[in-house]
Amino acid sequence: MMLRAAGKRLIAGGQASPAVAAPAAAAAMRRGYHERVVDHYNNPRNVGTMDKDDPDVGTGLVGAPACGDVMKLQIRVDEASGKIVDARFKTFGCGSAIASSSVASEWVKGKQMEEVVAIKNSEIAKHLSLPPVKLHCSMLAEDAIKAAVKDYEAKKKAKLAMADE
Amino acid sequence: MWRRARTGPLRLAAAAGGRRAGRRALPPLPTIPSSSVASSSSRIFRGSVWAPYRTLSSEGGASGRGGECWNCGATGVFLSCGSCGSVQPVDPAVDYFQIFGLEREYNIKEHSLEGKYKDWQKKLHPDLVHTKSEKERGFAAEQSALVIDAYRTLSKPLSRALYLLKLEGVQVDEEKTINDPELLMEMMEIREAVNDATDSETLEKIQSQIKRKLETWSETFQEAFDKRDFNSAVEATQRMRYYERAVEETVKKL
Repeated sequence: MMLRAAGKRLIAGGQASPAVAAPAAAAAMRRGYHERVVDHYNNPRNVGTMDKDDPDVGTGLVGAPACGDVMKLQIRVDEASGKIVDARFKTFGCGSAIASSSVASEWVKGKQMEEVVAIKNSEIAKHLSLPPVKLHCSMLAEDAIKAAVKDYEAKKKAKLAMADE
Repeated sequence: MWRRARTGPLRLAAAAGGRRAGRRALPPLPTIPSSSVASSSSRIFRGSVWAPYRTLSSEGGASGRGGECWNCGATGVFLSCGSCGSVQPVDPAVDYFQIFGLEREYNIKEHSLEGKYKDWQKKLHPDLVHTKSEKERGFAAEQSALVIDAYRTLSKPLSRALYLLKLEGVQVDEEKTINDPELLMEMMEIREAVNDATDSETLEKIQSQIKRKLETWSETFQEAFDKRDFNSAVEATQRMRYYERAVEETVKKL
């Protein structure tokens, strides 16, 4: 069902290695990833790191036990409006995991925190036409978003607690 | 020899539709003690090969470990018959440790596996049963695949650990996301270091560091498993998987 997304070219799923040279793109296409996944893999948006200790930054760090993937998603929140103004991610894992976190980093920008915790892994998976075997990658991205928000809120709470003393 | 010759023409007759006639044309088999084996044997010579030997496998007791050889009736057969050499159907009750004659434990001598593995393949490999019946070739394919699986699972620490847990009936929820910040931050740093490393010396250094950690956690698994503390054991395997993944990345780069 997911595979028959209208008008999208899809080849059956495979496993890509994290080499980032141009030939890898062609290889990945041959091995079979949806073009959006390949796009995110080759032109990842928002790769990078924010300062963990910055009070406006929330860091979500999650891992998938089945494959040993690590995913880090960071958000910068505007305190006054509660809006996420910037996001960065860093993921070590397969192409689907990288693409999922890249999509997540795009989608959280400009949104309120209450909005982003409502982002479902199924939406990410659908957007990337992930095969069933890679659904856990999108789940990981959803968990990363929640973890980042949770971290920010915990920091804010601690800051307020300190201010009260 | 004579039996195989009879199987040939019989099968052709069966294919031609002369099924019942073919069966009756077969002279009585040499006396096979238990009635269960006798009834399953008659099914063998019926016609199509697939259905019968699957039935045999599900019967379990009639063949496989300690059971009777479908070919000559000798008892105490294990994977293949000690008397006539015929490959037996797979017995699902046999576990990988039994195949290699080992105790069901984590600390095994990995180097002893290879010898036993080769011995088994000499008896079970499909390439060595060209002249035998289609049924036996089918058994050989399955048994030899089983031995390969067993060898691969037992030779690596992580897969061996996970297999032991599986035998104990411990369910490992692989879907659940890990949130342990300490482990994840450590893995992040390691993976970043591997990613940034440019020369083989650095990579080898990182690799040996990770391998040492793997060993530590391997020992942790051993202790936890022996104490039957399965939660800690599972946790140890998760760490091992992360470290093994990191080692794979260094190998890829080297």
